[in-house]
Amino acid sequence: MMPDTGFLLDVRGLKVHFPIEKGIVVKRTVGHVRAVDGVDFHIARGEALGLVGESGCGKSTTAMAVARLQSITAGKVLFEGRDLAALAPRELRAARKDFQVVFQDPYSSLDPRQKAADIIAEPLRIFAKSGLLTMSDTEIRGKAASLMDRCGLASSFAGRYPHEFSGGQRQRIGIARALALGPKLVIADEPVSALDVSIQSQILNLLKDLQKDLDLTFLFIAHDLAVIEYFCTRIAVMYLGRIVETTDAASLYRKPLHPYTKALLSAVPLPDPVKERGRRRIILKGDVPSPSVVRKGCPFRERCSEAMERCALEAPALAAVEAGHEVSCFLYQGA
Amino acid sequence: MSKSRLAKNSIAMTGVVIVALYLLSIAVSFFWLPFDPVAMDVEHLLEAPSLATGHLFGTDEFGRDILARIMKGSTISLVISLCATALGSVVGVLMGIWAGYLGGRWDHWIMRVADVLFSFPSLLLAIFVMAILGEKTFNVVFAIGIVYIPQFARISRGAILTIKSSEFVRAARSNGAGSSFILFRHLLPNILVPLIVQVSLSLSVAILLESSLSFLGLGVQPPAPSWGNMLSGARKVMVLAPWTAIYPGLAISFLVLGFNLLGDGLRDILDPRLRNVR
Repeated sequence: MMPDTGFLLDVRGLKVHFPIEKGIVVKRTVGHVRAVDGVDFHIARGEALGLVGESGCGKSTTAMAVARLQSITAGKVLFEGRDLAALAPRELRAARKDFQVVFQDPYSSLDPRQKAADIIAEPLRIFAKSGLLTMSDTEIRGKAASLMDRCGLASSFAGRYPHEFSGGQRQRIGIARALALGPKLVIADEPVSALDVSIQSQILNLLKDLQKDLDLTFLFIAHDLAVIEYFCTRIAVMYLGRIVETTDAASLYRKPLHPYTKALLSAVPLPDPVKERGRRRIILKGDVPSPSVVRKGCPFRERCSEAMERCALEAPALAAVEAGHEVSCFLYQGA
Repeated sequence: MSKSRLAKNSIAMTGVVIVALYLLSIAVSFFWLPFDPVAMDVEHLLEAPSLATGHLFGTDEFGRDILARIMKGSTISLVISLCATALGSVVGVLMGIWAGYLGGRWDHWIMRVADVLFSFPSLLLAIFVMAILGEKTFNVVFAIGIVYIPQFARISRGAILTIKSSEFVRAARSNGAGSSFILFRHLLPNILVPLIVQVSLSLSVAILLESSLSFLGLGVQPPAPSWGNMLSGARKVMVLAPWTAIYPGLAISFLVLGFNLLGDGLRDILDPRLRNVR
């Protein structure tokens, strides 16, 4: 038994590697894509942690690994002190009611052959069938109806199929489904990035209301910094399968420390034209290195304007610079 | 909704009408046949079709009424075709969806077995199976069913592969759903469209395969009538009495046409990309 850390979710040294296979008849593994390569973070109850980073940095893989929809190569995912990575399949199924996922694509996340009410009721039905939940079918239907209402869907929509809904409505169905089992943690994998900007704010407001009313904790994945700033209390910045900086939302925007975070923030246009004129963009050179190559040193060093000799020799660890603000960069760590 | 789309599609409707006519004739054949289909009549050998004698399609070399034999034979042909397609589709689909869903080693071995079966021409494979099992009517079902297994396995595997990585499958897993639940409640309903089309086309090919086997003397055994063995008997007397070959041949052609039209029409009707095209 792991000691209870007091956090709802505590992820330690999480690694997800995908094997690269070669050969048609006889398959052999020639290497690994290190999509997530040693990620540590924790989320306190009631908090909304935002995970940002560019495409391919491993943020969605992290989310899927935490949701145990992706096999984990190494590391621990402690949920209320219990390691989800070490649970037996049956225990894991029962544990799933505490952490649910809102998916990115509202089009492919709903079964096109199921009616809206059935989609929302499905988690309840599965749990009732396997004896993990005692609820009659009438109760389940009632619960589905109240979830639809809670997520802003008219009750007349219950019998409709997904293709009859707009993207925003579909995402509401996805959110209602995720809430059906009364989870403690909601893992939102870019829940608004597939939606129009006007719809995005509606969905974000819905999620915010739900968080307040239902006392939810969020792991919120996004690449849109404005979305993250609006929704999250704390932010973790990911680069090449690793977390490079984590802090509370306000101080990240006020005082970004890691050179990558600085570059990321400098790319956001400012609404004020006077400030916008003064905005200095930090243009990163080169591309993200391949995650399949084993590397020594800091993963960001080739693209970093502040890179030192030391960066090529050893990888900096995530260390606290001030209370609640952790950075993995030698600029802020004494020798 | 799908009913009106069927009615609007004239190709599919033609197919439905043709198949319905055959079903009607089968239903009638249970209560009434113009003559006894197996009774020989040496006084009326190879008689041309005529209203006067009552032999509307003529008689064969044993004096048996051809219309009665076609009607009786349609039951056998259709039952074999339905059972063989049912056998092939159920086994093939189960193999295909598990192969596609599980992937890896399972997929590899299941599909290699299907490939071996697939590498034989269908008639040759059917003859091979009949030669092993012996010439019984039930074995025809088996022979044709085995021919169909790899076809259904391939189609269902391919369809599963395209949708199994959808987020709704992940969503079901995150809700605690097990593999068979996902497979039968989420994946199978979503691949039904290509399967339904394949079933209707397979029904017609089964009719042809059964006729071919019976024609070669491996299928339905005389004196029981089947369209194939009727053609086989007609081969020797075809020049003298062409009606002995023409009518069973037409019976086969029309039913095959009916199933093909139905299959084509269903493909158009069920294709979601064409769904809203008026």
